[in-house]
Amino acid sequence: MALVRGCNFPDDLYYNVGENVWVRRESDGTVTIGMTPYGCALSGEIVAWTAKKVGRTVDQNKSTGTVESGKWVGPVKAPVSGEIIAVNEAAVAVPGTINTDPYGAGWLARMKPSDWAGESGPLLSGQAAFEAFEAKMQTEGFAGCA
Amino acid sequence: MDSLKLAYPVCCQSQTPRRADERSVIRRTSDPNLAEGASLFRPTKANTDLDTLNDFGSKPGRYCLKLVAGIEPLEGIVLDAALVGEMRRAVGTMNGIDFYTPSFKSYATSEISSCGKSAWPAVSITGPDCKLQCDHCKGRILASMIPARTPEDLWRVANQQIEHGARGMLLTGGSNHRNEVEYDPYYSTIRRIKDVFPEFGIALHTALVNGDGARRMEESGIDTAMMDVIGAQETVTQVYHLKRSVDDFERTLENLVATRLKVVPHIVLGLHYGRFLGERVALEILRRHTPSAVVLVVAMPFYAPAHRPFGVPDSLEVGRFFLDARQALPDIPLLLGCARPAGQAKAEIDAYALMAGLNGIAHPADGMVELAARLGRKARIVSACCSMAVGGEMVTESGLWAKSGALSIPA
Repeated sequence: MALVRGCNFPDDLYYNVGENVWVRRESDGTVTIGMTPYGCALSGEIVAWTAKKVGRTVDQNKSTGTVESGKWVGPVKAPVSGEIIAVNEAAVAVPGTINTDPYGAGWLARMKPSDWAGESGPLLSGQAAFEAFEAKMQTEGFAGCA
Repeated sequence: MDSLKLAYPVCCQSQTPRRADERSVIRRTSDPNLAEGASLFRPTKANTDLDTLNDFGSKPGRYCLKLVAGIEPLEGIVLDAALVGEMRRAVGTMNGIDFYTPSFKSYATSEISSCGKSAWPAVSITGPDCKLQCDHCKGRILASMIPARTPEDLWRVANQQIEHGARGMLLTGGSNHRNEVEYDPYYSTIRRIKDVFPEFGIALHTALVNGDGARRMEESGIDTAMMDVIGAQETVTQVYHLKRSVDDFERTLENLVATRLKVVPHIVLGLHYGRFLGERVALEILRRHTPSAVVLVVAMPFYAPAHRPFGVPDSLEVGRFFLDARQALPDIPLLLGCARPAGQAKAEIDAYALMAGLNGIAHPADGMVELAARLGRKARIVSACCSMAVGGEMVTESGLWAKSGALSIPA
């Protein structure tokens, strides 16, 4: 776990740094995705998570659904192509969970990647991810996670 | 069904307002139907189902639902076929529609990319503070706005925002216990902003105001005056915690329309804890005073406290009200404003708004650009507050004109 400007970034996850999305590769080859605490801090209190339906196939960097807060509406982009196999209905019901526990109860969706080996290259992890987040925060003038 | 020939996502563009001494005359675009600063989606034979829809005989509602079902972001939404059919019959041929993307909120969908991040910010003269603490808001809507707690701050904020590309701003603030926003110390600064940057639009949320106050707002040079009209005393008392009457809201509207200001009142649908109560009375009030345009918004349940929760207003009831309002105010621009519930309810509400013939939608749900095209409605994307754009320089008797400095994007 690394702390970058007060935001937690676990070592064992992959990140699409530009989109503020984390990815966890599960033992069965599926992936779980969610928003980083940095993304949550930028959004403010999230009031809705509207996911695409289970069974939908989503291309890499296309929307898996829409997150809305008081000052932001936008897509959560798929870090890799694949089929949506589960949506976190608890986060749909209580979207604030995404802010309070982004890596745990606030996960967003689970996908079955179509080509993890071929598409996961641009995702960063470990020190490379931490440095990329620090650079992004610097560029965006981000003060830090509360 | 033919596939749409639209390029997604799209974005509008804007330029910084110039100082008075740099200003040029407002120009007409080469296309009289296209205002600058707007992206235009022109339905073609290839991308509209309108002709088929018109040929669908006695069941236009069911056909409209088929159109909706073919749009992926709208998958799963529930619309009432009878109401949709009634809308289709009542509204008939529909004109274009404007999709507004004010930058109160960073906004992007699969159809519209983030538009003019700083084009239209919201500024609060009290920061997040509000004495009323209405049950649907508790001051949290103000919390995401840019604070300008002194006239000097307002001048600085306006200049900063213009520097960053703002074309105008929503100016508001928390109310005192009488639902009045105390703008008096700010009027000379507002006047200064308008004198130096005459193209910089200011839409002011007035709250309740008497005749003198309305005239001071007019003299300050603001472009548009906005207020919420409430039609039920129970809502005024219980939700707003206010010792004022419904008549006070009507008198405020009367005072504002007596000025030369563009007056754009709002009705909040479902304001009584998610239920309809005084909305139709409010609509009658608007009919009596002929505003420049009307904005309908829908109560958001997000910010209500647990002990006084708000339900999500029923989409069907909202859609029914859209049609009633359209028929009650046939000649007045009718817009769906930024505030409304999220998720499926938003998609349903927005679809009803499109079908009921509303003239504009702010921050449209994903899929609305495609639905507009399928309904044969020419869509424009405009990075401004909907209250500001309608009744502003963009509309003249002879067609659609442009605020100078904005860019047109070809279809």
